[in-house]
Amino acid sequence: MSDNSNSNNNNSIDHTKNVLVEKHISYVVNLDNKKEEDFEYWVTEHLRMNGMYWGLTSLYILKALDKMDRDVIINWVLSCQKSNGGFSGNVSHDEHLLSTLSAVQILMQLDALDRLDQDLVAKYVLSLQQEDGSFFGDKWGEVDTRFTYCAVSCLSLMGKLDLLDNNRIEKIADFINRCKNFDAGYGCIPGAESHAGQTFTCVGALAIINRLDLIDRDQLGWWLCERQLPNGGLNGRPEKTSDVCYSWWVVSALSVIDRLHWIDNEKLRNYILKCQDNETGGIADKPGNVPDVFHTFFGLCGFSLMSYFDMEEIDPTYALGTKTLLKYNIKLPWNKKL
Amino acid sequence: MHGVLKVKTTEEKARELKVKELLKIKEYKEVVSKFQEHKSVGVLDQIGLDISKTVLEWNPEYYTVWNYRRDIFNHFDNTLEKEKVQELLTKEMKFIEECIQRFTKSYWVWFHRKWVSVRLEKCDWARELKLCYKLLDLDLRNFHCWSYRRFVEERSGMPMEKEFGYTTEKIEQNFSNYSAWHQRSSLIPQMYPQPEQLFEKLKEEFEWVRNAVFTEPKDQSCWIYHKWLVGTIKKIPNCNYKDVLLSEVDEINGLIEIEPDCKWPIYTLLTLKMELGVQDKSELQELVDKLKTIDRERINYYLSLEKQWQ
Ligand SMILES: [Zn+2]
Repeated sequence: MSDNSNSNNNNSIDHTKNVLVEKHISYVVNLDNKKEEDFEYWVTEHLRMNGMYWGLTSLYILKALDKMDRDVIINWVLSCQKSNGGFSGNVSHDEHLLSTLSAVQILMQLDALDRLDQDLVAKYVLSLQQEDGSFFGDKWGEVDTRFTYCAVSCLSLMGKLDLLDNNRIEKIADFINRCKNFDAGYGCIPGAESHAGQTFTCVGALAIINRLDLIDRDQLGWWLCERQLPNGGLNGRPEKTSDVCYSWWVVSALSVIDRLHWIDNEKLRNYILKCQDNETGGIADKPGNVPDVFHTFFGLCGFSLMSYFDMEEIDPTYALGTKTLLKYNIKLPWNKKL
Repeated sequence: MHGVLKVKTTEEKARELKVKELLKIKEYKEVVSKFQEHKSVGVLDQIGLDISKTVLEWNPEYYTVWNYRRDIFNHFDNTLEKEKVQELLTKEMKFIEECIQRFTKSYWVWFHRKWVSVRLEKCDWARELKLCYKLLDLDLRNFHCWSYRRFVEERSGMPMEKEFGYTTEKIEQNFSNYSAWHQRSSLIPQMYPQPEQLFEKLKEEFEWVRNAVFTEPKDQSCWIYHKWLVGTIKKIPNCNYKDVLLSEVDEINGLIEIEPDCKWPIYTLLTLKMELGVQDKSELQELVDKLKTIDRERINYYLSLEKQWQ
């Protein structure tokens, strides 16, 4: 559908039918300008590395990566690396696997991985692996399948997955398997309830270590496609409400196991469109809510994975541009287009 | 950000809000810079605990501050009397409790509680369990709290039967409490390791879940649990599970008569019949055709399902 009836006024583009490309670009580019007057900006300072990754990858999907100051970003990212190799969420914060993966992803997206002491990063990641195959998020010892994903993704992106010998890979697979539940979904730790976000991290990690054979695709695909609600949106667990971020967690997992067609893509597309903010740009968790960079990124990922609106293709496992990954010779066996 | 509604305000109101927001930022930044200053000196002391506490009262997601507090406690372990450290850790549990009640979904806060609790010589696990009861009454699906609950049970050696009773209670209060169904599914195989016992228990569960599916046939929680029961009972060696499934077929047929357009009994009946290997494939086809019309979003799933017999 086009909007030729009112093509002069940018504000009157019908956001329920069109993706507001220009507005989303300006939303992301101007995120930092809000800092003087937005309390939220300050209480999320510790998340800046993730935020940078979400913003930058949003621009990549929108084919507007050139709108960011590459050198400034690279220098800032590098300034967040600690002497042990890990990256912190922001300059004066502590290192963590969550921000370490984001840092590697950003540098890769900006074609600057060579600026990084990759051996040191790998050493940090490996230092967090436990006997049972799980990973700590940092030296303090929280265990979660999110960290497993961060660890294997990070190593794989740097071409260092072979630092994990077969025995260790087996243990990682075993730990993930122990997090699998009665409904075929995955939780944070063994015994924890299935959650679509966690399911993405487990499916992604298994894809990276080449152990997708451990997944019953039909069982898991069914549980995931049951996340779609009558309004077209997806939830993360049974009997919860829809939220745009599951356009990434659910859709990416479905893509990896080749069951994306099991949900109604068009209905989901329409739901994400409705969550766009027609004034400021950006995408919110639900229609009518305040947008943020996290949901903007995940909403755009949804469009990209479902091949709508001619967006740049994002990879469902690594959450990075397919072209970027191919440039680094990373294998993407789950990508049927290749 | 989750669940923040965008509201239209008058210009005047917006200006007012902005002044408030700026003031909040100023105060917060002062608190943070005070903390950072103290931290940069590198002294791990009581003042550090006090200053960092203020930051966390504003923002419990500031994970570096929790790390700093743990550094202080570790340092105290080597420098203070044991009783004094225990006293401080007890105080910390109180502080975390306040934080948790205000910010019930912060990974960092829940982790810190675990970290402190195992350092207490005598953690009052009964009290911890009470906290879980309270928070799960307020938000029955809080998975952080469920996780903490399992941690407390493990540490305190709570009998599984008691926890099983809790899931019964929670489910009877609200059939949509999927978290409780999940918990039940992980308890049963542990409680009944013997095949014969497990078989008998699962038979009981089929009876029990029936009440839920007849009361709330549109609720997927109980149906997913039902599916799990089917998948589990058929794996028990040398048991007559087919009889159990056949009686389920009868029951669900009864439900379909009352609720002819509800997808869940139809879907369950279909999977039961597939499991039982019905000879007449038109029985299956009729059911899947119905599903294709009443559950359009998942039509491709049903199309792939029917390939199994076509
Ligand atoms: Zn969300």
